[in-house]
Amino acid sequence: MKKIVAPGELLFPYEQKGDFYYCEGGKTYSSVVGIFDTDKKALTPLESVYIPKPMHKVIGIITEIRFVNYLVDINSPFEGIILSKFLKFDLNIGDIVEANVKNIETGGIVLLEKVKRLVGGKLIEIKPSKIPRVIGKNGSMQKVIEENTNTKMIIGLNGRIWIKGENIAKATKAIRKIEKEAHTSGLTERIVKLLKE
Amino acid sequence: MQKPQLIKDGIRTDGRKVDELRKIKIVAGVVKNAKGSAYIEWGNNKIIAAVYGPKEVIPMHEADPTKAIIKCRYSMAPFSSKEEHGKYGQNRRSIEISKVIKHIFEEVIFVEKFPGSEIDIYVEVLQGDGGTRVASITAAAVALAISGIPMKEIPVAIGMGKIDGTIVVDLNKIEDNFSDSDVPMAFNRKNEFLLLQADGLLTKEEFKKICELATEKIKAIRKEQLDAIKDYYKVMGE
Repeated sequence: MKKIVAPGELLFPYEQKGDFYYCEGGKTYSSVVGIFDTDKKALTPLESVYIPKPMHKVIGIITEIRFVNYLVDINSPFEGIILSKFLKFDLNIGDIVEANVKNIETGGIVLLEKVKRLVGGKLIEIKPSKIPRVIGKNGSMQKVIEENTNTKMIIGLNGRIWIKGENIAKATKAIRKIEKEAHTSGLTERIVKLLKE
Repeated sequence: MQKPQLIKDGIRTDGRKVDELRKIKIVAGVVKNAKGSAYIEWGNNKIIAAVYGPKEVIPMHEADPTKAIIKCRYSMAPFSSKEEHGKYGQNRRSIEISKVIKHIFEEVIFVEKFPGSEIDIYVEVLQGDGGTRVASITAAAVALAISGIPMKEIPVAIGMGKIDGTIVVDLNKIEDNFSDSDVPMAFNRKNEFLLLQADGLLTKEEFKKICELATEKIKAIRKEQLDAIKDYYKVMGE
């Protein structure tokens, strides 16, 4: 059974570690508004703030150029940083880049690596909590959208999606629908129907 | 102005019993640009609360490398009240209320998850009729919950008081002005105090009675808050 839980609601009568839980007095409580599946014992957040972690793929926008590094807006409370010595090309302010999080330094600075510049597509922003639904199980939803619209999508876990290809408008429409209806079931079928129209 | 008779045969000036709350209506997600927002109608109080962030701290020297800082701004609209509230911007009263709201949410939010960032809470009173600070806290709590910022619980607040020796729940403007005592309180999940302010004189027994009555009455307010959150996602799903 699925139900909406609010912060402070008891989830498990024992201690359990997780991103959206907290433990107090040997019990586990929810820390966000989300949908709790009582059978699978899993909590899916309805809203979340993106917190970078190592190995995450993110899409950033260059905001500042310095002597040895670039500052990147990665749609999170922390600032991304790219060291120039690892780059073989120059970046300008406003460039869109795809990068992986290397590590998070004290003071909330996110070091990025494996930087690629993205050119000639469209960037859209959605809620970070809806990204897993856009990707789908083993990338199934992403594949459905890409195949039906003849596009290529790069999905950053920070809530940014970069689309390049033929029918960008249709892909955008599908992603907006997913964002709106992420917590409902039978979504893949409706998306396929929308894409085949 | 002379003191009017506030309680006549157990009925108050607006027709309520001494232990009756005013009508509460909460709508979540009314401000589109904000990360989370809520609108509350608590009797004649009309309040909008909005939450922004976590984001970069401005000015930068206020940033704390160990935790997020919270900024709160409570303000009354110039047209909100018959008195001079809000006509000249921030004043002593609104700065105080901003401070108490800030302290409540510092307790509730997991601030250590966002070092070096800032969370903004804005509360705007469109129409005030007594008990705006408790209504503001109740609305801001809902706004914060739907913003996705991790928090321990949804705080809930209630205003209590004493009129002519009788303990009353949820004072309105006229009762507030002429009451013997006015006690706004806020509670967490375990019914511990997050806010306790009091003016006037109260005996130990009266204070005990106030606490008991308040913990019973907040159940209804909690339900309104949860219903507002659930309704918000129901609307989004359709």
